[in-house]
Amino acid sequence: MITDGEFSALIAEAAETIPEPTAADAILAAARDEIDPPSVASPIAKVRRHPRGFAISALGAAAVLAILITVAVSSSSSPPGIARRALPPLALGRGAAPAFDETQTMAGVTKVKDTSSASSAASAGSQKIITTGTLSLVVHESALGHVVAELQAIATSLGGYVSTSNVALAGSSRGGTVVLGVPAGEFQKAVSEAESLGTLKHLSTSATDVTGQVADLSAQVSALEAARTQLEALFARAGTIQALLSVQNEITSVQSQIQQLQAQQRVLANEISFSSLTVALAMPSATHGSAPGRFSKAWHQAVSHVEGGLATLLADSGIVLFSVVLLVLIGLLVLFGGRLLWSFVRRRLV
Amino acid sequence: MVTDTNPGELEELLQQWYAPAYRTAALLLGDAAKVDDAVQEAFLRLWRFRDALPEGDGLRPWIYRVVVNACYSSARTETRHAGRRAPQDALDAVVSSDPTPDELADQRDRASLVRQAILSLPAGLRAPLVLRYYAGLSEKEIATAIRRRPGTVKSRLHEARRLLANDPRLAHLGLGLSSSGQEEAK
Repeated sequence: MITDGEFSALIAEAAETIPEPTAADAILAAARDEIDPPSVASPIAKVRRHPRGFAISALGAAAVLAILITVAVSSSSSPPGIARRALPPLALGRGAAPAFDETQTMAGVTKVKDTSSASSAASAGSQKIITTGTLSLVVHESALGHVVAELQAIATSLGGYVSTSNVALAGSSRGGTVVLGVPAGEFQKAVSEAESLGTLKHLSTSATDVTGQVADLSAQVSALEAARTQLEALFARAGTIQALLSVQNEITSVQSQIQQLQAQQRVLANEISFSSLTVALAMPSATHGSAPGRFSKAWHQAVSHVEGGLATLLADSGIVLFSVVLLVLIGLLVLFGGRLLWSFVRRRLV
Repeated sequence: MVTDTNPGELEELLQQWYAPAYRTAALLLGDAAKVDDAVQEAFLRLWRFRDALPEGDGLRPWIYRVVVNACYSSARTETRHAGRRAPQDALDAVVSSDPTPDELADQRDRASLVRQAILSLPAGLRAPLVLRYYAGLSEKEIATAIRRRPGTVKSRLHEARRLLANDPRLAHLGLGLSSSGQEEAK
């Protein structure tokens, strides 16, 4: 048994017998070959000493620049939302077909359209889209019954139906919800006709692309039907009672799965062909009851003024301010990105 | 920190570190030509990244880290070449084959036996062993040098000591674990 110290001495002795190295001159010569420009303290200059490091840093900076330019181009092609909000309040035209491409708050009316999953899909004819909408209307209490009847008439006239109606026509909690099912092609028409029945407070529409889901269901049904055909062939050839029962069980199981999937297909097909429009009806008094307090109102006014001020500033400064901010951001990102990359490359290469 | 491009700085670095770095590489690789290449590559890397070298106590593990990495690179190159030549493990290629009894009889030199035994260790065990017992690095510094956790370093050191203790070439040296080592093993 020897101690750690003795073991170290043993290995040191072994190392000392290694011949004295003499190749240091070669290293010095190679290092001298590498000395061309004097050392510069900037990170970029440090990176340039090593071609791999420089290449990686350059690629990283180019990637950051490309992303920023892409973002800037897409921003300039679709006007920023804040600029839209700076527009003077618009009167909501009754009966005008809504063309909502963004969230807008105008004269107390909120309109939202969610096309995140179907924005590009809508243009393609083969896409399967489920469209839904929610409409909040304020109607006079005396007109409530009439509005409900009108909503039913709208649905019927467009070839649709009223799927749910839950409206209290009397009492303190008058109001409620009517859900219309209208053919997908008539959805916008139903929205514009329904919003003309009262004072519009909120409108949101949503389009969901379910093309993949439809295709998936179809493929699953096809596969299961093929499996069922094979099982039926096996059933015909089964030689024993046990085999017959076993195959029969399998066929029953597969058949059950097929029916479940086909039910899902029917539901999806109905949702695709008939858009759902939920109309919430409220009394004017109800809206007064939920009106914000003075402090809340003052807060919202202050926020609105700040937004307006920012919008005015942006509108006045125009593209110049935007460009300056963008350039500063690019500069900062390139600087810090380059330093990070340099640090990473340095650690990997050393 | 070495910050100047003056080769004099490199000379100082070489004067201080070349011999221990070379012997470390020799213990890790065995093959003189490979050792020359690895050490040269290591010092050129140190020279290229001289601005990044830490100061003070941090310099020593950093230098050994570069040396060990250069040795690993050299061993990998050897692996690729050996793969083309014959299906033989690269590290076996730089380590001399087990000596026959006759050769053993000729190799009376204890240092030579120790070097051969070290070179016959797996590469993953060899570096911690050499850095600990030749370069004198602490377990924490070794962990920095080979980019492993201190716990891993400790277990590898123990395993390396165990293998050397069981190496028949070193049987006469009584390399069993010391009492502290046995306690660590428990």
